[in-house]
Amino acid sequence: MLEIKNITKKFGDKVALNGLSFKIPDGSVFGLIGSNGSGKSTLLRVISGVYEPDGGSAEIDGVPTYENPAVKSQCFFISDFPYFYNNSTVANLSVLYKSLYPTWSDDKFRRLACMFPIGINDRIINMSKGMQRQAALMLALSTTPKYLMLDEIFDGLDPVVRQLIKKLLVELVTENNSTIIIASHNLRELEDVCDHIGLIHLGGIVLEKELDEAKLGIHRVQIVFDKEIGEGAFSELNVVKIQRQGKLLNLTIKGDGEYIEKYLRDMNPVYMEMLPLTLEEVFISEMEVVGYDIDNIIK
Amino acid sequence: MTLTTLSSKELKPLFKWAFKRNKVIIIIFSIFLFLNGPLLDMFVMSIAGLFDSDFEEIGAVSLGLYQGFAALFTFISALKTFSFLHNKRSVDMFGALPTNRTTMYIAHLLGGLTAVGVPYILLSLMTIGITARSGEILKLDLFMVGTTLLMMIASYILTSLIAYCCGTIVDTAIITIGVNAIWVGIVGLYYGFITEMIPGMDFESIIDTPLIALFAPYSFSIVNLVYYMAEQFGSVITLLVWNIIFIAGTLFLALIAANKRKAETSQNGFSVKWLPMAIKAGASIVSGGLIGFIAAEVSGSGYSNMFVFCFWYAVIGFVAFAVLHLIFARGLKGRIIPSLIVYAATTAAAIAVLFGFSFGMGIDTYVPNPATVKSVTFGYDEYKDPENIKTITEIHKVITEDIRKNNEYPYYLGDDNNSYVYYDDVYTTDEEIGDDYYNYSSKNNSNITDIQKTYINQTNFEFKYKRKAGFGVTRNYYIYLYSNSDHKYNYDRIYELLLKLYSSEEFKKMRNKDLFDDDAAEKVQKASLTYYYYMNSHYYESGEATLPTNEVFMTKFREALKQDIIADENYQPSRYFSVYGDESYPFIGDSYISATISYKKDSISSTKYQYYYDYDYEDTYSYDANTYSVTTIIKPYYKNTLKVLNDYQIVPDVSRNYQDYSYDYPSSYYEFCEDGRPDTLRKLTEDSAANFIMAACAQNGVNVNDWMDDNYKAYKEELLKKSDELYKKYMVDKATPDQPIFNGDYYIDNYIYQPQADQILSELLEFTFEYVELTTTEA
Repeated sequence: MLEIKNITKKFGDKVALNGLSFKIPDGSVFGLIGSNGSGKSTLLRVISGVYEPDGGSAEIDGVPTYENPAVKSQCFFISDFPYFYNNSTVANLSVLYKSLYPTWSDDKFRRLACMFPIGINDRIINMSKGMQRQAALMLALSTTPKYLMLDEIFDGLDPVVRQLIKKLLVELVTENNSTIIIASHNLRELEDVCDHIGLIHLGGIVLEKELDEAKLGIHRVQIVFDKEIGEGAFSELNVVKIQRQGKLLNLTIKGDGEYIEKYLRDMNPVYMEMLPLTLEEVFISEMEVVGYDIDNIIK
Repeated sequence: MTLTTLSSKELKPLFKWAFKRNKVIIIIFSIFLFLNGPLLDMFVMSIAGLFDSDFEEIGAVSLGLYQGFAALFTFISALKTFSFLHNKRSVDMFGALPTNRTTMYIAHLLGGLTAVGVPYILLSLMTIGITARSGEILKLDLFMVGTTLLMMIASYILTSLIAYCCGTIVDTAIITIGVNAIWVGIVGLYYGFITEMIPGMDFESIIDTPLIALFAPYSFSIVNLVYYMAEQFGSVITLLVWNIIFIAGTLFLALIAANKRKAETSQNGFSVKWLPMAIKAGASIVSGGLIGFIAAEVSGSGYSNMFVFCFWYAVIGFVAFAVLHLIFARGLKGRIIPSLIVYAATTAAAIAVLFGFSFGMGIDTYVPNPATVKSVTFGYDEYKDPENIKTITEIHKVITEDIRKNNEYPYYLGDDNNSYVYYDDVYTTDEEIGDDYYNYSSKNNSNITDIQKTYINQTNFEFKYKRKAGFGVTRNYYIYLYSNSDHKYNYDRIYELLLKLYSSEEFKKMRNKDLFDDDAAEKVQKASLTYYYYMNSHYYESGEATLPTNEVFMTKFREALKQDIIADENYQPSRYFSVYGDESYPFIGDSYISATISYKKDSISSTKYQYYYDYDYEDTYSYDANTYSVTTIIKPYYKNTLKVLNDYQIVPDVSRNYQDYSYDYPSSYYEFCEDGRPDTLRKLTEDSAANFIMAACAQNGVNVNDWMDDNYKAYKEELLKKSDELYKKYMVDKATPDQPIFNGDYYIDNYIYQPQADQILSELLEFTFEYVELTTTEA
């Protein structure tokens, strides 16, 4: 199990991570989402042992990852801009990784080499952004990591490759009981592959739970009354947001769905429909709660 | 903090990775070394008609380049190898790899060092191999290769340490160059200041100390080269020892930096915040100090120079500080107020140090406590006897007191005469004393002290102390003897102390190392006696006699000579022509008997070593392919030695009265002539006389042969009487350096006052004309 224990990370006076704590169960795909500059990439770097936290620790099975080669050999981190030297090729990097990662699989590497449309002896630096990511992922998956940290992995990939990668990630989790943490703003892709999400903002955790649970805990309701209803009428509900379009009210409400439905039906609406929320809507809704919404930005 | 331990499992792949990263550098470096090493050797050897001097010149330049390439490629490779620290993405990649920071650092260090070290070793061995076959162009040997490798390691580690302290490769390069240049600059300035201002300090001593390379390993290659070419192996060893200490120290610091560096430093300033400030301050001191120093030097002399220095120091120092601030801070931002405070503080400190130097800071009057001194090299000799060490410190003390009392104080920049001591000359001439004048000086002066003073031809007094604690002290003073000087230097006291020193047994033993080496008697190959005997200015006798080399004679002879030298109260360090000057001889020039003992070459190491550096002993020490020879003067009062020579009947006849000061050499001259010995005066007189007679006969219209048959015997007697009279008149009684016979300039030509000789010949010519005319008229 990967446990984030009260991690604090500062860059000068700026606090990037502020006492962050949560756990990620083994065998899960964890979607790390958050506003720009919220600390997603910083958190991934702390987990993968690149950054030393100023406080707290990232632990795998109770052992801190920082400066611990044994633990780090179970992890692989692909940053938002994977780095390659001018003369790096997939082939020569595979030699390095094979020597460093005891879980390296030649079979898997060969299989992936056939799967991805890139030449393993071509200089990676000359490849497109998307192909560079494929190269990085190819090498990462060949190490069969127990913990795979991916930062904006879907950027620059065409839809087919995105599907391929999602398939491979699921395969990794299924076959290896690996844990994958994906930091991304591409919530649509995350929604497909993640079973857990963590929402961070300004270095703090806003939400951390199973995706379904997260989606079930917040509801969007379209409702019409034949009379004027004041906002005070919903005071017993945890209404996050109310939008009016004539008589049509769009409500975003947190809480138990059945209770909300019963409560609203008791108010005898002319029309009512509970709609499922996408991850993006969950994100927006949750961020609005912490004051990060478009109205506040415009102000 | 604790350092992580090295993990050998990850070391190998990371080492290979770092090594391969330097592939291009390996190729280019190897090409450069090959062109400048083996290829140059083969090329130069193929050129016909080159002289040894050409080879030496080419060799020196190419060795400089060879060493320069080693330093340059070490720098480039270190920057490239550790550039992974200066890119956020590469830090992500390497930071996430399953290893610790110690392993990461050591792997990169070893990989990079191997990339430059292996080509250097291989190409150097190839060059040495070719050199051994074809001659010596590039004077490279295994010792040089070894010392250079140490320099490369030290430089690589320093650059890696700086790379871990910096966020960008540009900052790393600037600070690496800065650390090396600033250290060399500060040491140079320090020496410049103290040499210019503080008496006794000598800029040349900068080369005697590895101080200049202490924190500038890239200058090791150059300093090492200079030492090596100058055969200063002692300094090379010191440098090597320091190199090893430096490597250990910087490696430890680099490991701390590698473990402590925050990954986010990449592309983002410095992980050691004071480093750029220190470089700015250092650059300010060096550039301001250098320009200020030059400005003070060219602006003349006097205390105003100090203010010229301060002005230019402040201006140029500020410019350097500001430029580096703009580079490091990427513009006009960041820590401006602290920077200005540091600039002001370093400027004030540097100026305070300068003015401190002007008061000597105790350096000018410092003389080591003799009790703390292990040995002192004074002149050419290293004294270890505590009594002599005490005497030398007293001489040193007299000089420092004289200077403080008589030279301008406080000292100032632009005054390069601080170390000069102006002693009154015993002559009345305005000429500075030089070696040529020693031999002809004041022979008739009855004051022996004054005469002997002139024999001290040491024009600089250098004191090199080695102390028991290990640190050395070196001071050098320039001694000038001037007449009519207003200075009140205490020369009499110095002279008194010098005589005491030169009378010491230790001094005599050092100057006669072969004699006092008990094993040397067995190594004698040949021995001879030379006599060189002045009768007067025109006449001398000289010759040689062979000495037996059997052990019995040699043991007696050497023992007697040792006893005489130890007992000699007038033993002095000058050349023997000067050493043996005695006022009781009424002649110009000196007579002497000398013994030359030739030893098997390289068997007398101490004296051989002395030959190489002892310039003044060129006349005394010599060598050929098989032997090394030492010549010792046997003075008239060396009774033991002369007795051995007399016992063996090998004292030359000419010097049978060598020990008799009252011996009448002018009258004995005739006897020598009668004996048919070759002698200058006779030859001179007879040749000249023949010309005179022919000229006189021609003028008087008589046949030369007829005149000779009738008159030559009588003429010769008269001529010799006349010439003796003339020599006594002109050369003996009146000829002294300060009272030349013709009141005009005199000059020396083979120990003869030519104007006087010309006058004598002129009068002899007149005499001959008169004699021929008289005899012709009478006939």
